[in-house]
Amino acid sequence: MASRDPSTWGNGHVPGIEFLIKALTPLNILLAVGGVIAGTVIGALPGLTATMAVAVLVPLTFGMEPASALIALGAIYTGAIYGGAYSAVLLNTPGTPSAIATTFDGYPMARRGDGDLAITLACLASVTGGLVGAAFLLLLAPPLAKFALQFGPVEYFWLAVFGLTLIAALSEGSVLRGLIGGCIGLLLSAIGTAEVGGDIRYTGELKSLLGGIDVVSALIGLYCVPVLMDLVATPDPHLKLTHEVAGFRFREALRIAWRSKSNLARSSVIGTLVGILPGAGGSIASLVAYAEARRVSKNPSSFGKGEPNGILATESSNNATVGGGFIPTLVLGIPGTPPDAVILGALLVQGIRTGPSLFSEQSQIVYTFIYGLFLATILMLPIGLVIGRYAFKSIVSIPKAALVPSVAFLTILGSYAVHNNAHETQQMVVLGLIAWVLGRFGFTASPIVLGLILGTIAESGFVQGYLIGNAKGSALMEFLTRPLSAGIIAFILLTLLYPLVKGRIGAPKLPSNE
Amino acid sequence: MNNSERDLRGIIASLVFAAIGVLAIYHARDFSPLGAVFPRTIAAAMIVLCAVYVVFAVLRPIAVEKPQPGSAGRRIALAIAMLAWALLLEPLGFLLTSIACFAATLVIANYDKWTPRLAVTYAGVGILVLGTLYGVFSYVLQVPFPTGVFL
Amino acid sequence: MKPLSKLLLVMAAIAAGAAIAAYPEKTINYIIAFGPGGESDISARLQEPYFKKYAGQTVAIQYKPGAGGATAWSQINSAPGDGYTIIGTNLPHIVLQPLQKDVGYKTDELANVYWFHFTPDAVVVPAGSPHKSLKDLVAAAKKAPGATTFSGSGTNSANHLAQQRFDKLAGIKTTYVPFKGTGASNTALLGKQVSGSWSYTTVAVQLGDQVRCLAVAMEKRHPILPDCPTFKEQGYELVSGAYRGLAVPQSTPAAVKQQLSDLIGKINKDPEFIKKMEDKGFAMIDAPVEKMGAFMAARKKEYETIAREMGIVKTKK
Repeated sequence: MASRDPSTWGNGHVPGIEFLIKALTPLNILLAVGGVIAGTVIGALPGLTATMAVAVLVPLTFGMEPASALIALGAIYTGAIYGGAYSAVLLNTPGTPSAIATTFDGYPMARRGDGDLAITLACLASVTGGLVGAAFLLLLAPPLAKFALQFGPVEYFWLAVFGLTLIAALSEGSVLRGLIGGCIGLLLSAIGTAEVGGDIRYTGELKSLLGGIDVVSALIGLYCVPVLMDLVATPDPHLKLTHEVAGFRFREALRIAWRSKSNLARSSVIGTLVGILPGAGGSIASLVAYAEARRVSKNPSSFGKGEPNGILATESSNNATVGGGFIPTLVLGIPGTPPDAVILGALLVQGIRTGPSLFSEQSQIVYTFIYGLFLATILMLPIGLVIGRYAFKSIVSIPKAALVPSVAFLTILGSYAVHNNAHETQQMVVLGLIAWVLGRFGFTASPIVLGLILGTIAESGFVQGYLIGNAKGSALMEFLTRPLSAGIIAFILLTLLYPLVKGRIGAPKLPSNE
Repeated sequence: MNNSERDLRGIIASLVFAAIGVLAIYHARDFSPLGAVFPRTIAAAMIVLCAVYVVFAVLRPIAVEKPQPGSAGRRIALAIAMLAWALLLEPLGFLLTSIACFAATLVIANYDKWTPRLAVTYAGVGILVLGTLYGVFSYVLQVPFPTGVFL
Repeated sequence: MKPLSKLLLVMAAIAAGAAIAAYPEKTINYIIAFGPGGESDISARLQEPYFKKYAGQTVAIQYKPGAGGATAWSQINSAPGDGYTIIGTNLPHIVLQPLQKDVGYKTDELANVYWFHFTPDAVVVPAGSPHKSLKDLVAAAKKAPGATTFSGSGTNSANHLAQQRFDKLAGIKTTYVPFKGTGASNTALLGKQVSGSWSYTTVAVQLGDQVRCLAVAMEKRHPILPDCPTFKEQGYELVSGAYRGLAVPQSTPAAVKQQLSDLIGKINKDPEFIKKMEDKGFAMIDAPVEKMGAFMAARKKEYETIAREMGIVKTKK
């Protein structure tokens, strides 16, 4: 088994081990298999996200036993996060926001004919990350939940700023262009009714913009539409097939993964920790893990050009957020990630009261679920490999004339299903066309999307921190003197100054395409 | 890619973004102080970044990437088809619009010679893709799709 | 198109007639103006099995979230008025939103048929807070005006409204810190980033002994929170919360509205349903279609007054 589980198995103190057997009923195994398959397929389709997978399938679980329902939802969730890698790798379109950073190296790998290898790597990384996240959930949930509560609005503000500095670090080509793109995304995030303050901003009398720009529909448009535009422009096949698709290239992937075990471990832990922070989620986790992997790498210039370590970092960290996100959800009753919010609602309908007492009073449900999550994660290995191979084969073999309308239909369907509304579909297409034009001017989609995601976190963190700080006496002190804030600020400075220390960018340099 | 020249596209784009930044700051005058601080800061930062970009681009020529070659006509046709798809969803209904626009994008993307066999194959693909996804979402997952005027 | 529209009218009339005969005779689409997992969804999910029990028909719960519910509410009147499309509505949202801006619907354009429960406002503090009672909190706020901070969900929301009203009633000045949704507000509360939280009984129940509930805005104490006194007991005239009801497209015939209202009324009297709702912190009310006019008029007056005082009324009446 490829899983490298750093948890303390066998020390005799694994909590709730007696429920392992309860998790392994035929029904639960069946639900885990079905959930992983359904999640992976939905996640793999561009435009259909993990949150949506959980949301649309939640009603089907209401008739089940609580533990079984949770296992099914956990399996769907973890499958969907993994499935997002397929379209990231094969179509340069993240299937879910968590897979944005997977496009950086996944698509270049597919372009040079290593799409199957990239998908197998993603599968290995996802299983590893998922197991690490689940292990933290099993062993350390209550203390970690307490840690998450230390993060106040000010820390979220600095965390978002940290994310923005990563844009600069990650921009391929020109750093300046990346930063300008980030600003565009940040400005886009201000459109609509401000959650904090209630101002109506930049809607231009359009009622459809009152709710703001939806991140998911923007994501679909910004990535998918330019891909489609370039697909129809030439008769060349979408991906070149350089070899016979025979196996999974499993051994090769396993070798690469084993060589990068420290990257996998680090990224999984980053993913778990970011997942615990309510409101952060897989997109930020994978970004941080990617930036760290690149920073530590001996060969940072290979990142963005098809570096397997990039995929290992993003895919292990985003699946680790699944287990991590369940920690505040179950311990505190506060959803860790957007899909957790849906799952929390399902728990309430089931009559389960979350909170610190859940682990003692309803331990049967919790531990059965956690072992079910392990089961689902392990099942992801065979299921993911098989679906992945099938996805790879079909993407490379179906002709453009069938691929383009199918993907186009999925973007329409996915953006509609975000809110079951055509407004988001219109936003998606318009943003997509703008993205294509910007692409011709040298501005890529990723900084814009990250700006859009981080904008709301940064702004509400800032305004809330300001209000709280003012009430306490000084807003400035609030932002600078809290210990965790100071820590994050130090990280930000480290990221910004590290290249200088390395002596890479000594003097102000031209934007170049190296 | 070795032909060094001024990055004219970058300069144009930067000027447009700077103008957007100015507009954003201008419109922020009506917002409450707390609601205005974020867009103002970002817009100001964007204007500065754009100015720096223009200065660099004017001072030193760089290797400019040539845009991908390809058929502009098909790109424009696809853009129109996608826009129509999004705009007609509600008035015409989800299914009807999707059938029409699916067919349109299929024709735009096809470079092979149309033969009866090809037409039948692609029609089958269309029915399969649209039918399966529409069926699952509409009937199993209860997604409320607009039905439009004809249904 | 004249004959066609006439034909449609006739068909609609026939359909309406048929609907009166045996409503409901097929699945009812129940639209939630928010995403899945929220309180509107949870209460609808709890109602769901009782539609089957009392009407013999299922409901299909569909989500149309966006702009705090306004997206769905502004579109409901274009749905067919046959009683098979119903939508969850929320107070004070449907009064406050059209007051603040043009959101595409007006309060009176929503044909509410029943208000079936509400989540009473509540003040909660972290379990370890030095404020043991509402009295402590008010005293602290009096000593240092503005230094007491409350988290709440959203600006100009039910939480915000309650905070403003209480400040006036108690003659204190506190700082309201808006968060994006109840989850984020709870995070700040449990993390002790704020002194307390303006929230709901449901949250007090859900967070259990991690928090202390200081007061609920109800007439009588909530059965599941017997230790949490009402504002009234402590001398403040505050009974409020977020109400949830059901509306239909305006074109729905009166007879169908009545049948729907009767059906919801039956569900609302089911002891098992009441228990499930109250266990989660909801409080039951019954405002059927017969009493809708008076109920809405009272709520509108109440909200408009406070909204004007807060200065959030932007549109002209």
